[in-house]
Amino acid sequence: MQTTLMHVILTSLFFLHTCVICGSASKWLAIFNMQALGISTIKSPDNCEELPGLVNKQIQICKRNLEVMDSVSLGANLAIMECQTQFQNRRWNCSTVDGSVFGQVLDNGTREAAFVNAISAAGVAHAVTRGCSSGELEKCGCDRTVGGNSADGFVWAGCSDNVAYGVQFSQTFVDAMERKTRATLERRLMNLHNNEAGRRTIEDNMRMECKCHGVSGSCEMKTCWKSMPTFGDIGQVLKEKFDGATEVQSLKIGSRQQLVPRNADFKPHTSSDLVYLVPSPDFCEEDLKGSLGTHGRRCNKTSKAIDGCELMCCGRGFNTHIEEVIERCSCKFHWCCYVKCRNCHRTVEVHTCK
Amino acid sequence: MECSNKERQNRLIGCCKSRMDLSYRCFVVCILCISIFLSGPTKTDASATWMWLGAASLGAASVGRDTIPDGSLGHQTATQAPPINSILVDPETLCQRFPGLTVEQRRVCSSTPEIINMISEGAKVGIIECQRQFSTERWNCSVIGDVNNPFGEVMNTGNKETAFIYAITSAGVVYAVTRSCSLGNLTECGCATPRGQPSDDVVDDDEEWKWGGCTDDVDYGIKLARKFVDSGDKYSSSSSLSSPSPPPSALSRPLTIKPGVQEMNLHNNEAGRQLIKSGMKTLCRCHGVSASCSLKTCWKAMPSFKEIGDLAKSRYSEGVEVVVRTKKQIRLRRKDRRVRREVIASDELVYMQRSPNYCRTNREIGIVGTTGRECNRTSTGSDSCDLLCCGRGYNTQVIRRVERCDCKFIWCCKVKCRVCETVTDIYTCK
Repeated sequence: MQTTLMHVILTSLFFLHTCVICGSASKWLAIFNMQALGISTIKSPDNCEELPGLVNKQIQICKRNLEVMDSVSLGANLAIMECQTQFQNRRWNCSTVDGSVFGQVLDNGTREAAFVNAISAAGVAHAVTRGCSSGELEKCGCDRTVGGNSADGFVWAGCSDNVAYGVQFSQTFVDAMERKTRATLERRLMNLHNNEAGRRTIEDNMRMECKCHGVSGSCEMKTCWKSMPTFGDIGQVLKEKFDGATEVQSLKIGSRQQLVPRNADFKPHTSSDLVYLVPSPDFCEEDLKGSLGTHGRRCNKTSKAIDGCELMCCGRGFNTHIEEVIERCSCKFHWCCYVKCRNCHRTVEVHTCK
Repeated sequence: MECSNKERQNRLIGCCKSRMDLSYRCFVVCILCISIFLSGPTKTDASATWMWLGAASLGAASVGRDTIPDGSLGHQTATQAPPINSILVDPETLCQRFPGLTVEQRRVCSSTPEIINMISEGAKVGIIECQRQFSTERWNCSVIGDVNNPFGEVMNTGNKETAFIYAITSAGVVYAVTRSCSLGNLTECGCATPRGQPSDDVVDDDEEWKWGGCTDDVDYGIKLARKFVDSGDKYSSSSSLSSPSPPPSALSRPLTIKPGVQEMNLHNNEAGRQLIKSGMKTLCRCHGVSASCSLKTCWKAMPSFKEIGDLAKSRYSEGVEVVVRTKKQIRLRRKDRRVRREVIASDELVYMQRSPNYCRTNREIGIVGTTGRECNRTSTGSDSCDLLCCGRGYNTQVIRRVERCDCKFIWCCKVKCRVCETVTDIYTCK
């Protein structure tokens, strides 16, 4: 246990340092990494200052909320994992590059950057809220505003997720980055909007969970509480929003700069939609802008979608090789009590892009 | 006169070069040919120009010379089909008005001038059905090319889509010709007399029946379509390897006919015709006191063109990839080694090239791309935004429609309606 912790600490420090080197343009990525790997080291307020990539305000938040930082780290992990799940079949697959979480791909205001902003803000909000509900955090607990009898004949009871606290924390912590960065105003507005869209996704998809009480589950009495969607659901909703994201530009309307759709014919975005500033590259070849290219990626021979070999390999064609998979099979239960299986060898065709 | 028979610019140039020194006569002929070529579009490489007749009568976009149109058929054309009035115009003059016909096609046209209407109609139903069948796919059978090549480079690539176009338009011609025979619009043909017995499911053993009514004379339609349509795809009298691929014509893109393309096109033409023949249905009608069915008259009818389209689409999905075998003669055989020896059935569609993905605009190979196409956000089929937009995502537009609704009849006599406004989101590919 001790060694794993040490490992995590060392890796996180390594990551943090490389990310400082990796440039100020993707500075907010450092915070992402810090959340993912560094926060578990925070034991005292001094640790907060050792973490590079944080702006002053975030260091202050860190110092005041030491106990929450574990959840922040967890949230960032959730976000990265979910991003990789949602994008595993796309050319850009949310892979981590050279220490910085997503390389330089996110330096431009693309749809991919929009997604990452949204999912990381949502990840922090989700994890902090979860921390509140599970009682890990002292500063917050269940949502006390939900209670009483409902018109539908059930009682609001149990622990409703205190999503307001999680969202609030995510707002102060994640958005603090954008208020202090040297990026253009347009980009800052984009990031702030997408952060908010990510958090909104949680709020808009809250659901009700209920439990029945009574003789043999007869549901004479029902108690219900509000619960957050699973993070997988959030990832899926955000992926759909990624597909339908709106290309915007910032215009001065009145005295304020605002993001408006670049094409006036298109439907204006709502506060829960994702917005982006520049169209994405095709991510086919490796380049200096951080695209890794799709050489060697696995693809689906029969699919016509983006995971199919035709699109994934950008027309370069693919190689096919046979892989042997060992599976447990013909399992039998023996009295008492163990299960005996045989190892079966199965060959599968694997297609990889040229 | 050899070069005029060939009637292609590439051949013409060859003729002029080789016979420059021979005779003044040939020179005159060549000049004549070139002037025909320059005055009107001529046959290009692998496209069946007669299809233009259908495309033009649809009011298709004339040319995508500078910009490739968005693929819809709404554009007004600059090259409308000439008005066809076979009664008032002398056949020769009439047929001269259609550029791009081969000599054989022009001969058919001159001998039966009304036929050109049917061909045009046939190509039209073929194209409309093609667009219906492919309306939700990345390649949507849009007419993007010019008179020479209504479907653009798709016609020259020898892939599944090429195969479908050939089959469906060829079937369309059979359909239109046969239909007008049955309707009595053509003097050369009428109804047919079927042979044999109707199948058990329409006539029971103990029922009395006879052939009657008007059976569609599909054999005539097929014969005529074969004569007209196939002559558009025969480039030389023999398909041996010794005949060199003609050099590219000046108007068309530099593409040479690959060996096997002609055979492929001819096969798919025939496959289209077979679709109609195999889809013939027997219909019967009862006679007798109060429809007691003491006597049945039966006749054979063509399937609806929608059914033919469905059948063609399934043949398209099961299309057979073929390779060219060049020994003495060019022949096609299945590419799949395991079934190589199996004969290619006459109603199978064959193709030689894998299809491109049709995602991005590529003018060189005549692909319109799917940007701007409407997609379905909730579907999982080929019209889904995911598949149609090739992962590029979609834009959302709000469409407001003002309609009259809740109409009520008020005595007497008016109808009162409210005005309803509906707002729908439509999604188009980025």
